Amino acid sequence: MDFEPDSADEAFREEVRAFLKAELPEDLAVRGRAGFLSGHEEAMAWQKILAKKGWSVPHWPVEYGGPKWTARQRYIFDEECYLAGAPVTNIGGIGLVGPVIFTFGTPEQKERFLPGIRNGDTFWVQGFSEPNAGSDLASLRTTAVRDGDHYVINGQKIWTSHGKFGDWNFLLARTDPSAKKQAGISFFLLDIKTPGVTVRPIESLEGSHHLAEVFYDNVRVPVENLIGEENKGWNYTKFLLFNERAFYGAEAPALKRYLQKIKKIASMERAGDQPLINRPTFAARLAELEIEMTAIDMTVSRVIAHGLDERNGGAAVGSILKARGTELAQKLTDMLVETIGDYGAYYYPDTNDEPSLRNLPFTGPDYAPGLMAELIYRRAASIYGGANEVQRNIVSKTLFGF
Amino acid sequence: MELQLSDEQKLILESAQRYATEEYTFDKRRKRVAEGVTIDRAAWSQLAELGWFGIGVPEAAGGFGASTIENTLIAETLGKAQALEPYTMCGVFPARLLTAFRQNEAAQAALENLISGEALVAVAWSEAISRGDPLAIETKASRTADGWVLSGRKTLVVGGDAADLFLVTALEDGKNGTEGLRLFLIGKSVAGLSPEGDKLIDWTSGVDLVLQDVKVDQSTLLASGEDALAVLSSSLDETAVVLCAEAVGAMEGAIEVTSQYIRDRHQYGVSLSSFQVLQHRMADMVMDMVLARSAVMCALQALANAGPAERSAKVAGCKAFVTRIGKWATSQGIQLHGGYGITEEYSVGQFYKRLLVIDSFLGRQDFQLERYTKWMISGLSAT
Ligand SMILES: Cc1cc2nc3c(=O)[nH]c(=O)nc-3n(C[C@H](O)[C@H](O)[C@H](O)COP(=O)(O)OP(=O)(O)OC[C@H]3O[C@@H](n4cnc5c(N)ncnc54)[C@H](O)[C@@H]3O)c2cc1C
Repeated sequence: MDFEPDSADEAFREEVRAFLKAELPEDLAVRGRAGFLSGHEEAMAWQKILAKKGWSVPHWPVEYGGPKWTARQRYIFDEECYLAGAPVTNIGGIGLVGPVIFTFGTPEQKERFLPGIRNGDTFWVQGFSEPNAGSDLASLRTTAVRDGDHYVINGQKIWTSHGKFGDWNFLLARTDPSAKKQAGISFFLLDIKTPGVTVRPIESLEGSHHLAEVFYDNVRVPVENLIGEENKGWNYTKFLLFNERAFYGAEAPALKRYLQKIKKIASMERAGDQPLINRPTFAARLAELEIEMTAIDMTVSRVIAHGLDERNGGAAVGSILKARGTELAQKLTDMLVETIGDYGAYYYPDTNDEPSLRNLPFTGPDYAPGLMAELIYRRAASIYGGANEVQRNIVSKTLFGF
Repeated sequence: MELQLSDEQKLILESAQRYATEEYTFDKRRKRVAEGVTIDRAAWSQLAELGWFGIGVPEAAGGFGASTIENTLIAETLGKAQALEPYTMCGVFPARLLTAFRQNEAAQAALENLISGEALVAVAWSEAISRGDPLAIETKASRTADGWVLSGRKTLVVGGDAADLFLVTALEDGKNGTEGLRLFLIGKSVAGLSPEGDKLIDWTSGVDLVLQDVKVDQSTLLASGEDALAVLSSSLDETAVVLCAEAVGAMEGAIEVTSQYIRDRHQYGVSLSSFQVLQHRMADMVMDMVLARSAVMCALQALANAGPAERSAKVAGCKAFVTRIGKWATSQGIQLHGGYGITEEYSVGQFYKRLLVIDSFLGRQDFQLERYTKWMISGLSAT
């Protein structure tokens, strides 16, 4: 063990910073900095800028356009993007379905779909969960029946993130109704404009509509859009869910951004004639959160440096980071809202789904809109990607065999 | 000491519960939210007809007697019912202030109209830098030949979008601290007075109130200096306790809908309620609720018996504790609902949002803990 900073990594960090300074347009960063979810245009515009530089798919193999970075470099890149307020790119495409396609797809599928993901042309949305198949995903009931050179899909998905923006949808459907649970499921790629698909937005607590229900009524999918083999969809799904947990679970860069923001705002906000940050009952609680954050960050660094081992939680570390990372994010965003005092209670409409409602006049300091929305999004983070209770089940099972 | 509700108090609680169950359905609430109505004056009048605004106001002042205890029973019920009406902030809070200054004719008239529901009164005491401290304000009051000119910006004025009357605090120009504090009662139609903003995250009323060279005459001044501060402090304390009772109601509501939800929801072929971790989670939520209700009683006790410093400290302790555990318990209501919990279509998230808003009223954790800490330490050096 030694703690000398790696000069190559630091040089890389400088390179990323310089790039962000030069190439991240101000108008793409405002929403992210405020705390609102990126809209479709921001995500795709940023994706295109990254693609030009060859940085749009950091963890893809070089042959599919990846930049050949080390895990450490990818982490640095993520962190700098977050701190700069860069839009979140299309996770469904880059993080989830892309790797499934380059790992299990046919050469035709790779050629057809990967460039659109890499270049920011196609926005992918995930159709796994159903009203009665959430944590117990394998009990899903949407069906796909072979009819000539098509499958015909019927059923319903729910909680499709950014469903309203979707160009393409990857989804799971049951192809063998007689098989047991996991066994009869297949993995499909679907153009969302196919007749029979209906997207109905869901209103969430902070007033936005970033989630949707998607209904499938005799939707015809060409057989060439099946991933891998029929009835083997669960294997690809496990692969995808593992990636989801590993890459997005802890979201350590987001934690750092919250801390940075709290300090910045609490230095500007006043309690009487003092900056809020000077109030010991505020500062001490913030310090506790920062200390926890550094431990999470080090845990991520350990995994990046030498993979899984006995001392860092082994195969359970993804679940450890997901549960503790999301819970810390909840505490931090709560504190972020506390920072702005009275204005923390105000409703600031989220305009993620409705560009015409952006840039309306509002009451309160410039940094107020978005903080409450982010606090509420973070409540969902302990539910999606496998509820934290399920993560704890995984930890006990993996480490103790319970 | 008697820690049980009296028969009369039980009657008040039961009638409040009956009313709430009939009137406050989730469907009705959704409709009102969709229409963008924060305060429905017809619903407000009904609360007046029930006599709820006169509760806690002495009979000599035109009220119906009783005490803050009865206010907490009503508030708890309304918290559980997810009432959009700001009973605590526009019913209890201004009534306390007006009662104290009822020797002023306008105040007495306003109090009568508040109790009858004819006038909606909003208290504009907080500003961005106040964070709970009524003296930390920047709104200025300048003397003129026959009155005052007020200028400044008030924050989180509940009822500010619909009020007929405003109780406004300001600092007299050139004076500082308690000595400079002034409390005014002004009508909504005075020139230069404008609400700014929309509503709060839980869809209830709350806006900024901007005062731009608002000219008022001398008769609008209700109180100054020590007098104003003493009444403001005690009223804020009583209001905080009633708000905490509302939080207890919200916790109870979240527990009720969540226990039903996990009973009915099946995953993996079993009811979610069969998972021990969820049983324990709900046990913790209910433990917190029981403690929160006791914390409210500790604060009621301090209101009844303690001197100002101890009273304010204990109320602050109650608010810090109840809002902290209340946010946790209601957030777990969302957690146990899964994705459904974060939608507007299910009621559970509204309880959490109410807790977030209650947390923001009258000073947050930083302020409440500081106030309690100072008092705790001062007690040490005294002995
Ligand atoms: C903001 C958001 C975005 C999402 N995006 C997508 C998306 O793009 N595509 C998609 O397909 N899905 C998406 N989801 C769905 C998400 O994956 C599900 O919400 C999740 O799997 C939980 O399922 P559920 O909501 O049906 O809750 P349920 O499965 O009904 O569970 C409810 C609660 O019960 C508890 N629980 C469940 N199982 C257990 C257990 N075994 N032991 C102990 N406790 C348990 C947990 O507290 C859980 O939160 C999203 C969800 C949210 C909230």
